[in-house]
Amino acid sequence: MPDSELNSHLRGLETQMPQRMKTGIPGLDKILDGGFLYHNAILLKGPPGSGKTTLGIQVVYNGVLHFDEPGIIVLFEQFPQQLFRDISSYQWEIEDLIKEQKLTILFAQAEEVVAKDPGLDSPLISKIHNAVVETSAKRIVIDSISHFINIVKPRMDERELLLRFINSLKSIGLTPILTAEMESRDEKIGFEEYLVDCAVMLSSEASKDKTFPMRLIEVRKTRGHNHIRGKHPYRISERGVEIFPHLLPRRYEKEVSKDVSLEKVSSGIDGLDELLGGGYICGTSIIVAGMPGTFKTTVGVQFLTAGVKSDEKALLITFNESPSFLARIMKEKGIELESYLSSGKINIWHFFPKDFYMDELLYLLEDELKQHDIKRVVVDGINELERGIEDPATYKDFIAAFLSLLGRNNITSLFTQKLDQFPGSAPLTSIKYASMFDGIIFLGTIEIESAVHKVVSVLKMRGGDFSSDLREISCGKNGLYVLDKFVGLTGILAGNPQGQYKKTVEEIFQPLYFLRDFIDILASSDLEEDQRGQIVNNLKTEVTKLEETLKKHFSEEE
Amino acid sequence: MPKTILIVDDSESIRTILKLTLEFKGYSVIEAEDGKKAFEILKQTDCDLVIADIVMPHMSGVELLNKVRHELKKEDLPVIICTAEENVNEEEFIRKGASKLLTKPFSPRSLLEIVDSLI
Repeated sequence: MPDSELNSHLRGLETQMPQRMKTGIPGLDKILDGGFLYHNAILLKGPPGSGKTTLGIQVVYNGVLHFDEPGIIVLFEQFPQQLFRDISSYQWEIEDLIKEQKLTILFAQAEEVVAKDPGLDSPLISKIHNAVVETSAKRIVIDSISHFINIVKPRMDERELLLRFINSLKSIGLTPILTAEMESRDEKIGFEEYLVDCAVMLSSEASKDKTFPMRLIEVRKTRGHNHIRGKHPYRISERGVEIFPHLLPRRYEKEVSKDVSLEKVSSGIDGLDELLGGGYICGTSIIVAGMPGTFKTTVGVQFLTAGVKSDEKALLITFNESPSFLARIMKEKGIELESYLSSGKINIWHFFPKDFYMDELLYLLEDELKQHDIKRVVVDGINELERGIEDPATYKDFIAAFLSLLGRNNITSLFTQKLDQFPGSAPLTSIKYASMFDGIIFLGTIEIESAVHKVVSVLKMRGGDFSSDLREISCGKNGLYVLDKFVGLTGILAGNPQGQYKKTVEEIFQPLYFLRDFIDILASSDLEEDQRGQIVNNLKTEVTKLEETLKKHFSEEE
Repeated sequence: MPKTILIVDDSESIRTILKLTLEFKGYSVIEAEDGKKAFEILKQTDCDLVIADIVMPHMSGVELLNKVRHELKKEDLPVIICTAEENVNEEEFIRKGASKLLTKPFSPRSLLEIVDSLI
């Protein structure tokens, strides 16, 4: 291609191309506020094994595949078969792209970077130039600059060499992506960082609370556009590099409070809606706390199945029980879960939190919520999530980000929390980060008259329109239901109920007094015959009722 | 014309026993299962006496008493307050406007005595 043609090609680039060069890696484009800028020099720096080469090649490959932008890969000191072997572990098909001249691979020697005459292009730049002319390439990855810098260093100023190299690439319309080795973890800012327009650092460190090394990516510098600061986790999978941008909880607070509706959704449990003042408020997040075996999971599942009945899709996130085991337990309680799971009306995530980055989870969650139009979420076992993050401050940030994600998607959510010991008379204090949630439901067990009763109480609920009664909760043929309140008893939550059990009083003693008085009346002689007959009938009815009540009370305890 | 008594209790068995006892003595009985419903009845019907439990859903007996005295201005309507709780101070309830405090379980005979003395 003659120079005039090349120049017009370059001018075309300037007017036609959108400003942002999308990487095609969703998380990275998000961190970069839309992508890199065309003609900016980009540095990917990290220790061996951090995935710099993969990331660089992926950005070029995605350009070819998704954005119709031919690309060039320049490799130093590598054999072609080595590259193909390395790439074969990803789901990338580069052979066809090479044949179609959309992707060019150049294998280079360090010396080729140095021009024989200061006035001429270096042999490598000439090779690249030719490839651009032939393929109209727009993206190029150089892997890595450390290779040639180390070799030419003794002979010339590496700064000048690199600057000339970058400028040459830019001048032929390319957006150069340069990889560089990080020699040690505490390495200071390298000179190459000053020469590029955008610097991206990759790191990989062993982590106590994960089953895999913690990989973090950080954009340290961008020229001409914004980026999300901080270190973001990433993963290298068969799809290449996947990045999970750190979600910033504070940014979304306004959005959450902007459109507060007080619409209520049913808990799916008879009697509980009454305690809640009509149900859970749409878009709120509620803690369901209790010791093991107090129906926490069942409260969660019934909330989801109630959603399905009103055509709302639901997501259950569980760490302990497998979906099939959970479905079986629920079936025993009369709650249909299995068919909802198999028909996809309730989606289920069952995993081990230590296998995931927390940011990754939120990223996947946001995707899931939007894709399936989910309205209700239950996280069964928030304690397990906490175990996945050792640092309390990070955990708190994570929960804040989690809740704001649910809030801005107007999801109503329940988080079950296992309490290790009886919380006593002040259960609120035993619930971690209680203030971050909109509501708290406490589940417990109490002993009254040698019988264990399961109880439920709403300790806190946004909107305030709830009843703070302590009520008995029981499981019948069709799942849970909430019974009458415990009146006349004090100290229940302290584990030491005192006072008379009102039910016993009313159901046994009151009829007894009634019978006694009416026997006296019968005994008196001044009664008309029809009055006497009516009293006898009433007495018979009351005796039958009393007998039933007594049987019920005492047979249950055997 | 028989005197009308309004029974307010969320327990059906208590209401039945009270009804049988009072009807036996010739009173006419109206039932309500909570304070809110009782208040609606009192707005429309003239009763001669009210027997109300303290702890009930929607509106407690004490709230009902308060509304009867201050909203309906029925200052002379006898109101008997019932409770199953021990160690309650009757004087406190009298100050709030109750005519009498009845502790459960009560004897129907003593209830009748109290009712007769108030009507």
